[in-house]
Amino acid sequence: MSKLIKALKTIYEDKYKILLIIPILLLVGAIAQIGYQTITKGDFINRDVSLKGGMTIIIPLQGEIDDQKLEDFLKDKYPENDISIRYLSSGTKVKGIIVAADIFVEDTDKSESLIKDLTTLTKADRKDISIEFMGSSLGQSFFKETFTAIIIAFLFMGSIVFLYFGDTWQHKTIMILLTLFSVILVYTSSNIFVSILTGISIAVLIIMYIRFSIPSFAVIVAALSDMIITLAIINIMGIKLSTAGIAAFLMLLGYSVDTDILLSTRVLKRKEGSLMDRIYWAMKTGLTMNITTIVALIVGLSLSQSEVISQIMTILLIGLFVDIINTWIQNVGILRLYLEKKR
Amino acid sequence: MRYKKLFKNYKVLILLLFLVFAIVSIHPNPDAKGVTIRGVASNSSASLAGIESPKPTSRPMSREIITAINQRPINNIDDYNAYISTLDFNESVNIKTNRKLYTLTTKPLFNITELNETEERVFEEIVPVNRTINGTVQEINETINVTKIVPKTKTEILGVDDIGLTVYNSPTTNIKKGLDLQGGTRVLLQPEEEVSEDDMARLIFNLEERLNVYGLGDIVLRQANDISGNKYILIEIAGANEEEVVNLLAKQGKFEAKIGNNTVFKGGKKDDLGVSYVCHSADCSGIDPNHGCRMVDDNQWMCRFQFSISIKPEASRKQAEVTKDIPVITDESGEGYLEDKLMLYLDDVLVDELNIAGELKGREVSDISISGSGTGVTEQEAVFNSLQNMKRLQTILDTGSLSVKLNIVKTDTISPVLGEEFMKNAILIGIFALLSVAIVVFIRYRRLKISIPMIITMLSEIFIILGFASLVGWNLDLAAIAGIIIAVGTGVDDLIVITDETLGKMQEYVSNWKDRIKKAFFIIMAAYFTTFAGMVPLWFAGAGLLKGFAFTTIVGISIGVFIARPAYAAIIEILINE
Repeated sequence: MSKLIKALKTIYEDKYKILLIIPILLLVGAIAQIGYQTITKGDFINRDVSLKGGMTIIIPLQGEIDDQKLEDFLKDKYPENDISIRYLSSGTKVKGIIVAADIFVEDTDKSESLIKDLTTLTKADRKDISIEFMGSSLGQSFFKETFTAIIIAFLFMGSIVFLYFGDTWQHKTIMILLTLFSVILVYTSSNIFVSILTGISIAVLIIMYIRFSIPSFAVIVAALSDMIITLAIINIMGIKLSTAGIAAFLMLLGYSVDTDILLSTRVLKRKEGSLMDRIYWAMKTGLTMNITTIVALIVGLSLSQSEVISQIMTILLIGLFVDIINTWIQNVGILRLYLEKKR
Repeated sequence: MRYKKLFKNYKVLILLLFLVFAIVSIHPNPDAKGVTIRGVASNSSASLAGIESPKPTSRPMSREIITAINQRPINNIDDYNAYISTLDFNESVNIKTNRKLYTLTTKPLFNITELNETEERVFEEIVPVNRTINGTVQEINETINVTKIVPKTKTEILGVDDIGLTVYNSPTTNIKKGLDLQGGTRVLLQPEEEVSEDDMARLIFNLEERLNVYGLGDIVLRQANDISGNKYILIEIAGANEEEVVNLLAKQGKFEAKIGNNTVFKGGKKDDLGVSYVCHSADCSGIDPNHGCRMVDDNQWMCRFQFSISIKPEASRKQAEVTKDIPVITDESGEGYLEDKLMLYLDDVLVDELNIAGELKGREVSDISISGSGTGVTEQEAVFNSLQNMKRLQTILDTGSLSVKLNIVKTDTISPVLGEEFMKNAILIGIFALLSVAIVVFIRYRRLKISIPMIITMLSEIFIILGFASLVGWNLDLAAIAGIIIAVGTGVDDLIVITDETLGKMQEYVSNWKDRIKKAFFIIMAAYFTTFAGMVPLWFAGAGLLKGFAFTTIVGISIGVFIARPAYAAIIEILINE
């Protein structure tokens, strides 16, 4: 056992450049998956009924109904569709149920079959049922707004990390001004000219990061690839994202920087022990952080009876495993390369 | 001895102080009984008996609770429904609430059909008449009888009319639950005329903006079609009553200010003749101090509100051009006014007339004061209604009119996506997740003196966040729960950093405890500022989900970093560092 650990330790310490291939391959693979998915399915994620929209069927109820039985039946019969049931009431009396499914106008066979099933199960009269086809609950501009917000979030986060780990105050000033400039451009991006200018200014920023503060660059790349790789894995698993899933991705943004900042601080700002000592020291703390969260998530997943909770926890769990690779292989590798060059 | 020292440390005391505040703010009362009044329909028997609707901003635990009807105790919504369904019309009902006892009389429900015959009926009408009183001519209102020919009607009694109360099971805390957790009102709107896809998107955007400006943040808007291709807008709103929804959504909200027949400015910021700024703050909007509230009738109070706005340059020019030919008249006190008044129209109905000071004739003015009024049975109600009218007018001036009039097809009360079961499950998971964190930490450090303070710190963070949420009255929804999880999750990370920096193997390099804490907080603050910076753009992104998440996360991590985590550092210093 100890032999295996020793061997792993040697590989980890000596072959860090080769190990860097793992996160790079993961990132490239993830980008390829998302690109392939966008081309073949026309969408970069799989959306559930809350994000995609679909059919809602409103059925007036006379008596009581076993909603759990109904839900189980529908899930068995339409496994590839996403179906949810809610109640309608007038004042305080339950008046009917409202069934939402990701079935669209074009798919007449399926919608007919679902309506038929529902009428037999609820003993409702076909003519009392009303049917609507609705759009996404997040609105058409939601994803565009989210992308803009996330790009700006990364620009801001990058500048904070640069302030902490960057070198001279001149560089910091230029970087802050350039970041603000880019943010304004991203917000006002209205025509092609401004978009090109935005692209240029962000490119200059990235060059500045690489040229003057590799460690800041490493933190941001780690956080960004956490999100991209997790998204690709979720896509491959075929999970249909709900609004809760979107929230989980935003949570990753908050989670992923913790370990990276811990690592950078310990490696760059401390003088205790050797470089490897400090990396292991950071790793001991960082892995404790990751393991507590992972254990909490696994416990949560095993107790969860709600799809919403399960989806959030699954995404976070995958994100954390990806973060372990991105922090302790990718970020460590970049930092060591940087320190080696500096010497 | 050491435990006593804990309560002398100021960081621990600050944490305790915030915890006390949080509990007071959450106001937990697990065995709350009765049903809380959500709304009272106007002109219903409940409203005639004097029961008032709660203000939308009022805190859940401070609302009026019905505890008994006709001496029979009402513990929950089922008791209430069961009893109300036994009532007949013209019956006297005693409703006991936690504030007072109301007596109301149920009304019969009529079905009125118009017949094909006509009849003569006498109506009372109020007309202004000039009369000489004490030697001066004054205009007074007089009531006269007018005879009109109207269609004959047939009235049948169908049964008992609804008493007009909407109620829900009394809440056990002050925490407001959002649409996801509590459900709300589902409204289906249909545009009055045919609209294109682009118009529909613009309409939805405009409605969303209007609801946001109005302060109804917890909404989902989406487009819907029926099988024959008719377009609808589907809206789900938490915590708004039906009347508010009708007022805000179904009315087009076309605002025009006219002098004579000329429109001088309009509502909305996009129009050239529009508004550039609308004041919402207390120093330039509110009940008009010069008029205030007064009793206008035996049973009627009226208040005037006013707020200032700035109109666009084009609109000021238009105003100057229109006013330059209007003659000035002087009243008894010697003040000059233009002969024509500034008339404010909302959806083509005159809502207010304002005198224009003589000195403004032909001048370009950009700052204008808008006023209006509201009435009510009590002074308090009149103030509330005028402020409500003001808010609506401000919203319309801010967002402009809808391009199409919308009709409400139907409104329903809808159950939440995540119900009671979800909350129970979430709490159970929360407890076990915290326990598992404590166990992992115990395995790592082998000390209960670390695990227990850690759990206490985590729990206090959650309580303080919830206390803050109920204090500012923000809705707890899925986004907020995600924010709380992030705050607590990064909180665990920070506590581990503090523990490792102070008690880890490397501590021999830094002997001084204060330095070790300082180094731990260097890392914590770097992570804090980075997350904070990442959340700010999400907060300003505008969309509900992003905003709610970013807001809770920022509040949560700030409470953690500035209140809870320093206290943890102090606790382990006292307990472990002899």
